[in-house]
Amino acid sequence: MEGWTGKILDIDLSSRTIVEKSLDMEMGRLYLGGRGLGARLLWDLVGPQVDPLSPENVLIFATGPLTASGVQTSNRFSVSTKSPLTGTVMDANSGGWWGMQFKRCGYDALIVRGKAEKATLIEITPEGTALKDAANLWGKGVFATTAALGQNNNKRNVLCIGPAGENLSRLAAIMNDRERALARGGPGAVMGSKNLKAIVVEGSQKNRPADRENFKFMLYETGKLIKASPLTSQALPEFGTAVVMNVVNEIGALPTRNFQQSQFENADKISGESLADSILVKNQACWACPISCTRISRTKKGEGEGPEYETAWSFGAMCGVDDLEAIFEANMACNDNGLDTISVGSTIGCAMELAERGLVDTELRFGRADLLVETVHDIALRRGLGAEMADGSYRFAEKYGAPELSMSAKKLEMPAYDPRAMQGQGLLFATSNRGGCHMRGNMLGPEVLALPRLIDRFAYQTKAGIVANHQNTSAVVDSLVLCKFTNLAVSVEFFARLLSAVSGMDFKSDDLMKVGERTWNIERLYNLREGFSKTDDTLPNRLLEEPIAEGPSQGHTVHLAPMLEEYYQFRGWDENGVPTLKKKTELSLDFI
Amino acid sequence: MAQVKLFGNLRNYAVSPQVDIPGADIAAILQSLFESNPGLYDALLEDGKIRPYYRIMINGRDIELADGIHTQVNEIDQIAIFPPIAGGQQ
Repeated sequence: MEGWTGKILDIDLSSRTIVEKSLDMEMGRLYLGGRGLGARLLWDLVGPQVDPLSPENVLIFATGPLTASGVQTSNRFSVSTKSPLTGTVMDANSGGWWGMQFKRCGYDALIVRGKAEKATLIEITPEGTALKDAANLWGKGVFATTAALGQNNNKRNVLCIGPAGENLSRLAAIMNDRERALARGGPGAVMGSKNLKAIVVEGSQKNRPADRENFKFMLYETGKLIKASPLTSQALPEFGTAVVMNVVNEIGALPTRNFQQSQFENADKISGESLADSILVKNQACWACPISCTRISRTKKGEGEGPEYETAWSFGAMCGVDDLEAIFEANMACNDNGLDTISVGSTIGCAMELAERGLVDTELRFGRADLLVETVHDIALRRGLGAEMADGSYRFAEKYGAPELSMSAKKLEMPAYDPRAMQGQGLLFATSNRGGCHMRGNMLGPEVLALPRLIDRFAYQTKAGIVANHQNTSAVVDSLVLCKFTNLAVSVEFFARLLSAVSGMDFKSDDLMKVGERTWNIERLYNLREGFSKTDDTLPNRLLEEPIAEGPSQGHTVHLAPMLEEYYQFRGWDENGVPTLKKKTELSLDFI
Repeated sequence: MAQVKLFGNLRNYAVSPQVDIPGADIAAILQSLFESNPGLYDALLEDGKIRPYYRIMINGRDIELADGIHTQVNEIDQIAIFPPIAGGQQ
């Protein structure tokens, strides 16, 4: 194995057939793996108007050419599917150990099709691949399922759904290694719709580099860069991502009470600093990761991973809650049920505003920390109001006559940044192919932290190129598949040299950026084929029409129209946001 | 007096995470801050300049977009100092 194994495992749960196929290496070169490969395969496999919860949808678990190579953070993998929450192309990305172990099974990707007749699990070991009965696991939480299937981080790894996926919640995540999550867009529901409970992997093959000497040198140099950067050697290990809470609040960009305000008076109580002083036990690393950003926390209810910034926000400021213990316990409940913490917290915040406006009959109110855990369980089990909340904030708010109160883009709940305070972030959320998402090119770096340099967050001219380049870069990292935190210290040029050393092929940074742009465009084309258009590149009216009422970002709304026009031009798309033939030809997408 | 707020590991070098400090501009504020919290000097400065990745904001706006350390400070201003921070980004 030198980067790619050249093999894809294709399992049809309806016919119970298991086939090994070859990876087209030209496709490997053009899309690498992970998100890029997933998008390309999805284009072929899931045509227009397929119901995401039907057997015709697929799940594509994909590693990248660097996975399991030993490159720093080369543990990650992705799942691609058509999202039951948004109807768009969707990929979600996770760390831990499962991706590494799956690669060691000798495959670049796993395609799962059809629907099993009854609860099933897939087991891939050196002895072969088997479909096994999972009736005794159906209904169990993620923690119990993972333990029952023999999770052992470095040897045997479990990926599974919890009750949320079984109950087809559109907010359901796929969990791996107990508490890592392929969260956004409802892939857990797709897995549940196939009656697939778990995928267990045990591998033995190694991803050995083609150019061993160069690889050793590059590995050493990459390690030095990560160690030298205060971001990856200090900030993330010491405080985790929740340290972002106070800076976002300080600039007046922390969405509070369903984006009604942009500062939370108790932000410090739910920050990384407070976490370190209270429930934090230690930090933890994924396989081959020197950064160690994961938090392990403990309350009377138990010990587990988190909370990350987004979770501390979604159950915190978004719901008007300043109780870190309650937030952590809601996080644990999401992990055990297999739910996306961003979407769940945001949907609860939406429900709270609807309740306070008298539109929904519920006890949920901003600040009701005591109701968070119970509501998470209600969503997972489709119980009471949870049955309606389980399909996300947009469908929920629409049912009660106020879809404008769903703080989502393309029905994916937006994360923890008020785009009225960060114009580039607004453009990012509106144009992201999978919906409201910060992981497709977060503008926190340039607009707030001066990474790589500071730009005025209120300016809305000339942001388009920066956003587009960030989006392309995020797609590169997602296709390699590495952790985006390495990109804080390591450039795309370095990634190209690492990839060249592992694969024996000659990659330059321009080649990788082309992969990123190609991935972005094929995702866009997929969505256009599904019926999305320029009118879907938008944000809730609150962000476009209601100025922030007070604080450092007072008076601002998102100036989306001029940014969008500039963005389409920069992307080489027409005025309707459709990639031109010239752009498609440039990116080897002219077969579309 | 302006209110100075410290975040991240800068809190380890100060008597309190939040202090009221006199000063007409950011440079003067920092000078006063170091006098009452000497550990902050080395934490924040390298060769007399603010270390890379450290940010200083006045009322939520980065001083780099104003006059840097010569940015004027008024009585009710809030100054926030952040060490290197990362999360959810590339």
